[in-house]
Amino acid sequence: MSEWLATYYLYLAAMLFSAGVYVVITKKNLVFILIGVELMLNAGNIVFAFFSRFDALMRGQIFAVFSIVLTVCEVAVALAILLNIYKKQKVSDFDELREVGNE
Amino acid sequence: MMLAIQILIVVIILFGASVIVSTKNVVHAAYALALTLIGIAGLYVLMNAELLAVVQILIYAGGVVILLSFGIMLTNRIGGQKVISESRNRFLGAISSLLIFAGFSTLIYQLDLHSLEVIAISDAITQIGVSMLTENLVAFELIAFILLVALVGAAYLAKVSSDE
Repeated sequence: MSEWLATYYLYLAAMLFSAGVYVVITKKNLVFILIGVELMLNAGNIVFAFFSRFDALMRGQIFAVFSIVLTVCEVAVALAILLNIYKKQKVSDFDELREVGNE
Repeated sequence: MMLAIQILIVVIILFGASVIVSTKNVVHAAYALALTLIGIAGLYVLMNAELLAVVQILIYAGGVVILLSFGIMLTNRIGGQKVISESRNRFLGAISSLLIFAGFSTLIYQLDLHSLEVIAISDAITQIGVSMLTENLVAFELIAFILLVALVGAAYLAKVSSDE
């Protein structure tokens, strides 16, 4: 396998991570920001799986499974918080959000 | 043939990511995210990580995307019109993401993979399962407990607000 083919997974992961950063910084909708976070976490998982190929114990793959489960926890809690924000303030854009505590 | 499959998967992933970056419609972004995640599952298959591919399709493409769609439906006023999200800080976002990509690319370019060699493992899924219940048992139980607490907490958070 040539050098370029071996590392193109890593370049792809870097592209996905920067796309996630761009989405998180530029988009206003709260769900959109969550989608950007998902992209960044997936880029990390790709790197784990890539380096797991050089390890006889496959620790990278095991860590990636744990990271996926943590992502599910994060999405569930984040969506519950978004639901609360929307019900209390009728806001789904991040810029219009001014207060997060009790009013 | 193998190269064609690799190129197809990379094109799918990059197409999904570019749709997410360029679209204003949140629902389109969620579907493009599903496409990207399925492409990443194909990438895992190419990297001989079959367990990760299956977990990716089951949890991400099946669970997280559905959860995000419910989030879109519950947190936006949908009355027949499209769910549009405006952009802000475009210049700042482009600059910072390009800088991050340049930094990662420099690191990857300097990476020396010659000393490493790919280890072919025949029964990878069996080994991962055994390892999760022996060496990584504490982490496995902890992550199960965290998942339980997070899901119960999320359900509680969503419930309290509906009572008020």
